[in-house]
Amino acid sequence: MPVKLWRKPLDADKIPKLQYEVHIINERCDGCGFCIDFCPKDVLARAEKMNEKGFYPPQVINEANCTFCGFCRSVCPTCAIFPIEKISRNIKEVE
Amino acid sequence: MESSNSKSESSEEIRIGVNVCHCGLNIGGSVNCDEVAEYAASLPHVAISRALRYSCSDQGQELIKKDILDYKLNRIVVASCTPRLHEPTFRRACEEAGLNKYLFEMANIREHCSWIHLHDREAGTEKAKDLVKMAVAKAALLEPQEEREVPILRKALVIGGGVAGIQAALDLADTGYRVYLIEKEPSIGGRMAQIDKTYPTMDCSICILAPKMSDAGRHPNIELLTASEIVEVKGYIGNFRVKVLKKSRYVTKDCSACGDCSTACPVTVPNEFDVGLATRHAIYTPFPQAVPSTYIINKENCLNTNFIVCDKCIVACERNAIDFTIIPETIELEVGTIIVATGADVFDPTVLPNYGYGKFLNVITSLEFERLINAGGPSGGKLLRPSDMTIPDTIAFIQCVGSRSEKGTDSCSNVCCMNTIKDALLIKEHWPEVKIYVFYIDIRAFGKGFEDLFRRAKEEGVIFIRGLPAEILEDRKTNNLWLIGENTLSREIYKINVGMVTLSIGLEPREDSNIIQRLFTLSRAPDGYFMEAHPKLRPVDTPTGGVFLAGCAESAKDIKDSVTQASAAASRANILMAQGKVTIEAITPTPIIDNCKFCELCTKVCPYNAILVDRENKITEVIEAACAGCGNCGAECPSDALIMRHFTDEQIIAQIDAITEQDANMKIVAFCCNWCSYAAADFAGVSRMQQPTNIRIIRTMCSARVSEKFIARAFARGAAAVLVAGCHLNDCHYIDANYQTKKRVERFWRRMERRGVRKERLQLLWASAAEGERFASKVREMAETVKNVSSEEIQKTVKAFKKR
Amino acid sequence: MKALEALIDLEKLKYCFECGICTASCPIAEMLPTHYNPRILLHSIHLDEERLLTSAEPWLCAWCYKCNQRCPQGLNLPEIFRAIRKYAVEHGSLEGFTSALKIIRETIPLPASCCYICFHPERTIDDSKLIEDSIQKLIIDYIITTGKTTKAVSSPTLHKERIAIVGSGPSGLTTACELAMKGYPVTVFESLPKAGGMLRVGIPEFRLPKEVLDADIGYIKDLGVEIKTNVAIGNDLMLDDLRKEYNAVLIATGMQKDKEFNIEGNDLNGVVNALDFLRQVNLGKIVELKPKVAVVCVHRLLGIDVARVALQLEPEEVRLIYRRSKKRMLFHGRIGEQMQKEFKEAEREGMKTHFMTWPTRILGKDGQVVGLECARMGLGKPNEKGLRKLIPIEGSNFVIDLDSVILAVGQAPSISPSEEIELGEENSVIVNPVTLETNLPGVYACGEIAWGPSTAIVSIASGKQAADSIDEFLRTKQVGTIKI
Repeated sequence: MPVKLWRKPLDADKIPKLQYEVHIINERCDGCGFCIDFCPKDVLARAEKMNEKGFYPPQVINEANCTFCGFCRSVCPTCAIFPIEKISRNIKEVE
Repeated sequence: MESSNSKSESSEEIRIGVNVCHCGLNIGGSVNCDEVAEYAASLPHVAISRALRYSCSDQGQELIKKDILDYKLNRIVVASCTPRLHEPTFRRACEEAGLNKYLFEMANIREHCSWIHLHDREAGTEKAKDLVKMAVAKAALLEPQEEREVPILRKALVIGGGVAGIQAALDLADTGYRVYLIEKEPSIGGRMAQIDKTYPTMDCSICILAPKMSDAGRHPNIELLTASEIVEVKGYIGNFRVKVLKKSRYVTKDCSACGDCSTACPVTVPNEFDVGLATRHAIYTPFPQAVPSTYIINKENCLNTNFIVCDKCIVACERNAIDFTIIPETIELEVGTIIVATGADVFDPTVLPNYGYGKFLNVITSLEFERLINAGGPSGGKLLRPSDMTIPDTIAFIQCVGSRSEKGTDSCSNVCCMNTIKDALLIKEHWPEVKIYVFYIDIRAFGKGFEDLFRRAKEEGVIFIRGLPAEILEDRKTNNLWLIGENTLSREIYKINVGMVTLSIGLEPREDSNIIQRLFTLSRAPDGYFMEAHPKLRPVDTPTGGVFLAGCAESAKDIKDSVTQASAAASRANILMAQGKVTIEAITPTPIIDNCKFCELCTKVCPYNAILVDRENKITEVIEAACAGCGNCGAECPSDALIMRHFTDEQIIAQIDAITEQDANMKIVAFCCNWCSYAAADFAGVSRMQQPTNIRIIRTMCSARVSEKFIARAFARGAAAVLVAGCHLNDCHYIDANYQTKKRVERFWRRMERRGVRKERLQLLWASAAEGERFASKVREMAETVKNVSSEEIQKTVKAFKKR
Repeated sequence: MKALEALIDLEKLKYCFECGICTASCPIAEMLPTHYNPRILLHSIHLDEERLLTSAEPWLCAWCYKCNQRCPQGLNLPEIFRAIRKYAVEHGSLEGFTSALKIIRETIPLPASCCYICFHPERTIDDSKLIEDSIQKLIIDYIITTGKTTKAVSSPTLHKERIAIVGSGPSGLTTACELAMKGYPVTVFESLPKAGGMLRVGIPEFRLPKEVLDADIGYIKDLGVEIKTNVAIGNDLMLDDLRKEYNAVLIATGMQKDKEFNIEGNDLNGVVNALDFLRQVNLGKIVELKPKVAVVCVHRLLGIDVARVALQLEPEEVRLIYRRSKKRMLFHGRIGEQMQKEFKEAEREGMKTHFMTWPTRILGKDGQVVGLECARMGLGKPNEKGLRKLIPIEGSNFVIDLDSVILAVGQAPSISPSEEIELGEENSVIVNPVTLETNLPGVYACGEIAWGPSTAIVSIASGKQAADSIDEFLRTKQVGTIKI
């Protein structure tokens, strides 16, 4: 169906939008920047402040965009970043 | 293969029987038939010649049969009407008398002679003599042919799972054949599943379609292949080999369609089924009644691109039915018949900036309207306008958006008028206070029960205004819309304020039609839809044997017509498969391996890929079942290695020679293709379009049969002019063979220029079967040219083209 | 009428389904509903051919091409009407032309200017003297009759409600003229020293002689319209002041700004914007151009106008830089014909051209332009609309030595006179599409500031619509009653 879909779906606001938080353990970060490069939704950017190790860790600039894909967690060589859900895991409760 | 057979035949004495038909006064009125018969008797090989009142009558046929036995005739010529009419009749008579039907030849002295020379009996008679002479000359060289039979696999393939495809598949499956039903979307159902109600009965569309869908899904004879596309087609009538790419659903058969996975999926995207008015998840089922009812993962939307990230659906699925390791597979099917039911696209109104679609929220398309008013749709069946989700107090429908327009499709889309009337009535049924305007240029309520519905809409207070809005403007404050147009009946400009506008968008050929066209060697009409073999008498056949059309693939049509056509196509396919075999007209080429240089020119021009040349093993083979007999290869072959059966070089040259034997300097040698230009000449005859008597027509199956050497031969024999006529480009009955005609004629023109011969003396004409006048005026034009050709010029031309 | 049929693609004409889109799109049909209906004119080619020879209608087409753009059959109505004009002229009938001029004088605001820039009689009549004389006669005609008109309509002001109009371009002047004729006291505010808006400062002298425009404005002044020049609303005077003092305010400030062109070095000394340049020249200011000038042209007509005006200032050389082909510049779309004419003139006057070329940056030294680096453009694959994308050819960059660059990119809306007014896309003023009222009650907007760049005649029609709407508002104090 090559019909162009241009509208915001009418029920778009009714869909429970899950919120996520990205946790960064600054002191663990080695500043490789993989998470920033790989994030598909541009949630992360380089922080302005150095950590104790002398690296620039990532900082969250656009948390609302996070879709919880977990890519950052997967690529981090030092396990210094992970996302978690802000609200209850059970979606049915939300509804 | 029957070469030994034919040699023995040709070694015996040739005895031709000629029958000149009066056809009452149709021929006898302007041609002296007795004189023609007498003349025919003097021609070589003619054993008996007589004039008959009605040769096609039972007595006439009996006489022909009796002659064959009494006079030991082995060739028959009948000079009467067009072979397109009675050739089968006389061929049967010959067969009944024990004569191979390919030993029969016809001279068309009615449509091509008596009817177009009503007032010149003398010239008409002379022309008739020539036509008979040509037929006799060809007849002497005719060979008996054996028609080959090809087995037909009793399996069918239906492409497209819309209502037409479903109906065709069910009909064939119920008859007992194995059917593969292929659909590129995740579910069958097509457009009809998207529509809310059907006209004129106001039945709920999905309610009547869903049982059919599940029947098709459950049927033991139907194998459903959804999310699948055809990638390759090989073979020919009765024996197609089709490769199908089955995309991965990433969901196994264990799926119970509980929907837990979809609820868990974090991705939301617009749902294609609801035209983007509602959302779906990356794992989804397009609509509740979908068949098959399993879920599918759209990999483009899914976050799990590398097997390590999101696994919410896998966790949610209790039956472990999600498997990301499934890969797409290509399967090969062998089928005997194919039904193309690929449906239609809808017009995209964003190309009309003055209607603001895509910019103004409350301008919607009729397809969006169907989803909006559907109980299963995004608004739960309430008529809510998108901007503020309220019921609009006024709705306008604009007709012919993208139809009957060069901005969309030139043709009428057939369904929009009634669809709008149905929609208007639906609104009136639930929200009678809503004011409805319909802006139209013509309301076409032509079908059974349509006019009643139209009348009902008027009774219900729907306001019909003739004249389309020129412009839709939005009031930013209220999101209401102003329509500005001219009421062409009152000649006044209207400015009307409405809450919502529905654009009645037209139907268009599928964007990917060209792929199907290429795969199945179909042809397409100028409007882009697939073309049928004959618009009146073979409306669901295609020019490719064993392939049939159903539904909107052939032209825009409504559900009833689609179902009718689907059943018709199924029935046509059934005829082939029930017989289990098909005979192929013996007009295909026979390769002469000794002459063949394996240059592969023939394979390049063959529209059907029906010639296999194996240079290494020195094999050239014609797949008779795939070949349609256009003769393009024969004309292309530089080394006489392909003999076009029943239209051999010798036979055609004999006809040319017969024409040019006397008074060649006054004659036009014409080559007409069987389907369009010969039929155009017939039509000119039927319409009694009077023409000069210069032209002598040689019939070939396709204009692409006309080799340059035929044209050269005609000029070398002193012909004043040559006409090559064929179907319009893109209308060719052999896909695109006539592009070769064009190429050859253009090449010959250059040759003429080089040799100092006037180009006007060779003409190329494209004429469809209905363009009799076009043909006749060409003949008149060329007759004028003939007058200007001096005898010195002819001498020069003869010299230029005479073989050294 | 066989000859006429030969001029027109009659086969296609038969596909007219009389949908009425042409008439409803036409600014002239909107202004002159009793005199002009393109749909019926088209229809009469088949039916009433004799009438066509003497009819004024074909001469009333103002070449805006809205009908052609929207026609479902793509019929080229202006060209068809031109063929009819031509046919009449060839048969020695100028009756249609003269009666059209009469209609124009009586019913179209700014009639003399419109003859030059909208109706284009010269496109069918080769005799330019005849046209000049006819239009001169028209001007004289209404200068003589003005006395009467002024007395008849304007001197005893019928209504006491006062109206302020911001901007004296074609739409503002039209509204002023129409409302004055209805008997309202009207004041027009113009930020520039002279009235006329784009007609004065956007169109070069050779396309619209200033005295013709002066005649039109003089007529409007004679109707009693007061024009206050050198007053910028939002600067010298606030919109709120106007709203307090006047019963209705119309904003018709148009699109006088140049569209911004993002290129390295566009702030250098010697880079000017085309509309600024034209304004200076047209206001009679002494403009000194450096000897070597390049006109970077996106908007074709603006580009060629600027090049010709620049040529008149006699610099050493003027180069026109256009990113597409010459063919596209001269033959594409509705302004093709005018382009060909102007281009020929410009070439004769010595313009040099660079087609398929686009600047990559402006080179400067000590803040002054010294050169223009350009790249040659190649054609990419066609997009959905069949237009082929332009791709700079790698390594084709070259530098043109010059000291002045004029950027002819296109128009942008003038600055809105008040922050309270709601703005839409590209800073246009949002109006009710039928009443033209803005979000502020009693404040209206019309012309380009509301609808975007358009031809003069479309602005004039918009001005007339605004006048009707303001009149209705003041008479009934309610908006939006529209008959169907």
